Amino acid sequence: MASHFIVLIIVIPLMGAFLMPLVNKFGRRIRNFWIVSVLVLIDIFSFFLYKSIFEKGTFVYHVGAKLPSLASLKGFPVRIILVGDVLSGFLVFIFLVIVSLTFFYSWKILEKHSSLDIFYTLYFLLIAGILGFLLVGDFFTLFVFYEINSIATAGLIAFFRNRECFKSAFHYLAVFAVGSLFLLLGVGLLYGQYGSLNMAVIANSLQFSFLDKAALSLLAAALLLKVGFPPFYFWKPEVYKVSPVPAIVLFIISSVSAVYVLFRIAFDIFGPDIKFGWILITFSILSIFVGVFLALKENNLKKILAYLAISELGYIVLGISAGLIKPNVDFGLKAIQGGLFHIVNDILNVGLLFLIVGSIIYVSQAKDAFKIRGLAHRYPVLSGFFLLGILAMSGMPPLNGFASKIIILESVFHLSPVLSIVGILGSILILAVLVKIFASVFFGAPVEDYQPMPKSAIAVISVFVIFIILISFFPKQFVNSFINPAAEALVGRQGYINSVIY
Amino acid sequence: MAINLISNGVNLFLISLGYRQRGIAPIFTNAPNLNMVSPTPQALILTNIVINLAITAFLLSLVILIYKSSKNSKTKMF
Repeated sequence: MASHFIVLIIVIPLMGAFLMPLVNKFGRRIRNFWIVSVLVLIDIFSFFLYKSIFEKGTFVYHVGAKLPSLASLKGFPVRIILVGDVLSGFLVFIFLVIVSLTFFYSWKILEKHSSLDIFYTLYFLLIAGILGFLLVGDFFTLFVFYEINSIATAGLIAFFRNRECFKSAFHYLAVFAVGSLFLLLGVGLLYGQYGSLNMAVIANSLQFSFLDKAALSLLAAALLLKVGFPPFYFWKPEVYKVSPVPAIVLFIISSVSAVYVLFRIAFDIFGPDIKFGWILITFSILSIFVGVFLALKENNLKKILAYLAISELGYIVLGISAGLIKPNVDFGLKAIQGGLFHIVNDILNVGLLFLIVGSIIYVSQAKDAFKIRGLAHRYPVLSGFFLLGILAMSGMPPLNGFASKIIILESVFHLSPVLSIVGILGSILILAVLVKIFASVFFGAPVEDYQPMPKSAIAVISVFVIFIILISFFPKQFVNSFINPAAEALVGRQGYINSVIY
Repeated sequence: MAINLISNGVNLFLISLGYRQRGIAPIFTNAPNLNMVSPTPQALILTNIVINLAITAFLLSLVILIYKSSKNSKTKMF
């Protein structure tokens, strides 16, 4: 049983998704019970998966023939494998905890809307897509999960069923249909040369020819599109503006998992490369600035946060790609640690702000930040949490955003001082943008009477805040016990190859 | 349309990868020798065709929904 956890945590959400319309026939209570039980089940499985990876090392699961000789006469067989190492196990666990929390948040916030069964079907489909993205060990299955991700996301965007939603869902799907073909073409180039789809086998026989670089750039383009980096950022604000907030948290997680796949490919398949690292650093600097400057001139609350999410992702990629340039030096490994640490903090901080904005929109029924005023009078606790989120996101000491950003910026300083100056500047601008929102939304005289806040939303927001405060108080322990093994797993290319091919 | 065209291009590229001189269909049972066309790219293409069908259908349904939800009849669809 224990050895099947890794495949079960992909299969169970898929099953949960496809049985949802059927379960929905039995009424609301049974449906909610079904959703909770699926979520709790995969949470427990992912916890045990992470624990067993931690104790016994990298976990490889074969869907299909176990021994090569059973499937083909010579060489490595064509089959699907799932790989769970310390890094992906850790990310799966963190993501599932956040996802389960957002379900309890969506409980009341979305209660009044119709077609909730379809919403939760797509919700689970997207969860399965993200988990598959994190655990997959060969390229073609990666492509399939990329498609599952895109289709489920497009469905979630169209949830509110108005013209704007349909339009941005259409744009999103059209863009990602092309993006997935980029991915497929890159996979095809690699397959044509090495006759295998398995990541580790390709990594083992890689010759770094021109075609390999072309394949790498195609794969990177498709994944950066998913991450939402400039010049591919254009879909993000439009999509975040119209989608329901619980789905947005999933989109953030999906972007971060694309970052993970990008660096899995860059580190463990193509190996550390100076040129590619600098290209990614250029992209991340661009995204920090483009995100912040576009957020400065924006008025829509969700769009502002979408732009800030782009610039936060810039910090993650800045840290990890600095490690891509110098992986074996002390500060290179530190930079990777900072980047991975910032993944966790990014999800918590951006997620917290989005959840609060979602509940603000719920209570006020308005979408423009400048029409909502004086919320601090009605909801003092909520505005305190929002202030905490602002300070954490812009990297104010002693909060968690500061802990990870300081690791990134310190280690990037060794590479080039200019990069860390740019990073600090970006942080200050993020603070400016957020203070602007805070002042306009929470201060001033209240213009109208607001609806009461649902209790479940407040509870979930406070759990996020508790996580943030815990990480802020014990950043060192957190990095040493969780992030450090993950960073080492990412860097060790030969270790990854050996663990998959015996 | 354009997406379908790109997809067909990629499919054609993939199927050419599996081609072998004077190859036969990859069925083990009645193969005279092992000089077969590689079956993997064909499996890939089959998956891709199905996925593309789904995406095209989804896009077209979204187009219909956009068209229905547009109130003024002057709006031009593409």
